[in-house]
Amino acid sequence: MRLALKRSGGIAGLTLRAEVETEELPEEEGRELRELVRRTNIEGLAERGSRPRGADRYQYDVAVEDGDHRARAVVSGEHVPPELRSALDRLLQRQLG
Amino acid sequence: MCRGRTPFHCFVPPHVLRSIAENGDGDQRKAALATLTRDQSIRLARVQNAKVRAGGPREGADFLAVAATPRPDRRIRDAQGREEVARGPFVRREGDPPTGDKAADEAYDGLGDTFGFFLEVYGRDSIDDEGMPLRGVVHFGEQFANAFWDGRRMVFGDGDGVILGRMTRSLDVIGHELGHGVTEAEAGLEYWGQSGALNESMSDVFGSLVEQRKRNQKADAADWLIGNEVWTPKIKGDALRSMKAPGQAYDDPLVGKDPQPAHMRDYVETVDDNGGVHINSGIPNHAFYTTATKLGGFAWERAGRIWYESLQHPALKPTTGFARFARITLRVAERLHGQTSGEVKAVREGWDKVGVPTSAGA
Repeated sequence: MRLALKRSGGIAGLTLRAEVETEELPEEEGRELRELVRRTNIEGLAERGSRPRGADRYQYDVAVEDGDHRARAVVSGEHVPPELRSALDRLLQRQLG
Repeated sequence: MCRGRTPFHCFVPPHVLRSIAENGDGDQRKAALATLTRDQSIRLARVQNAKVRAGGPREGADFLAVAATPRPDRRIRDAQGREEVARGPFVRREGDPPTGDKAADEAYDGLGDTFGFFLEVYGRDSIDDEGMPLRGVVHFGEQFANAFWDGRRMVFGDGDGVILGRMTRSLDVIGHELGHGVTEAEAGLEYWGQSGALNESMSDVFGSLVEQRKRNQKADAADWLIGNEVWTPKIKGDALRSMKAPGQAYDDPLVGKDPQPAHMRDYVETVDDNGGVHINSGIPNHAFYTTATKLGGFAWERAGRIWYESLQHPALKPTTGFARFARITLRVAERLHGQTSGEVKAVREGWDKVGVPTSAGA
């Protein structure tokens, strides 16, 4: 499974990006991430929309390629399930070293 | 529709209500019209109240008026590292002594400074001008490098320790977040594209003015920076944004270069960041800076009042973009200071500088 992630916005207005092949992650981490993403209805997230409640929230752009299945959502942080959001934040934060 | 008492639970935006009022069936129309009328009268009452209060205590003011001097009602919770805004314990409420926890005390003090700014300068009683409690949440999340307004509260993270530190360190960040509450209550500027960038810019304007007033700085002495204290020492940058020089607040190998434009010709079209709300806010930010420095003196007194009253103007819609807002600021300046005043000239020069037209046909 391939993930292309982008987190933008927040008061600082910084954009962080990460591209991940779950097969290239340590085995357990990769498996957990695949299960987490497959459990989440990414298309459903997209329907909840990117408009935030309030202001200065993070906006997530999540694109998934899983075999033949492709999905993408641009969504305000409060609409992303907390467990998935934490996993995405860890992957993004790793880009900063 | 919209039966809740607070406007924050009222999700039907005025343009939708207007559409229902025009196109709905009998009952829908009645309900939509009632809501629209109520919103409009609340807004007018607020403007009226603010004007009365802004005059300060008058001669012969009666006892009741004095007794009713608004006071802040601060309520600071500690989220204890969880992403929960309403669960953590209250660590400091109004009148409590300092806790010794830096984030909690900075949030308490900063919200107090911002409350005092709005009350003493514009006669505004808190976020909704009706004494709304100031709900602050500190230590939100793990390595959370952000601060936000959730529609009800001001929420602050401790930073990731790599690029950003504790968000409460900057008074203008606290003022920025409370400012989002004021903008939401007054204008409901939609958080997308130009209206979203205006929403962001209003928060930078208020945040900067709160700090300038706290430091007793005139426009030419102020740094016009937002978030000077939140980068970690390893990041090469002065601040998150510069109203004086948008695009020049930081330039660093890890986080890149400040992407803010200072002119319409460099407006950034993007779907990131809700259509670039933290990017294109550089344009109205620089217009405000230009107006305020041309006028000189304390920026909150004239430039700030013009912008604040523009936010309350009935012609401001949730989808208002830069050009419409610019024309509103000009109208407000004309009303407050007269058509041939230096203030009107400064406002026009401010918008000219960033390439936003203010002429009626634009």
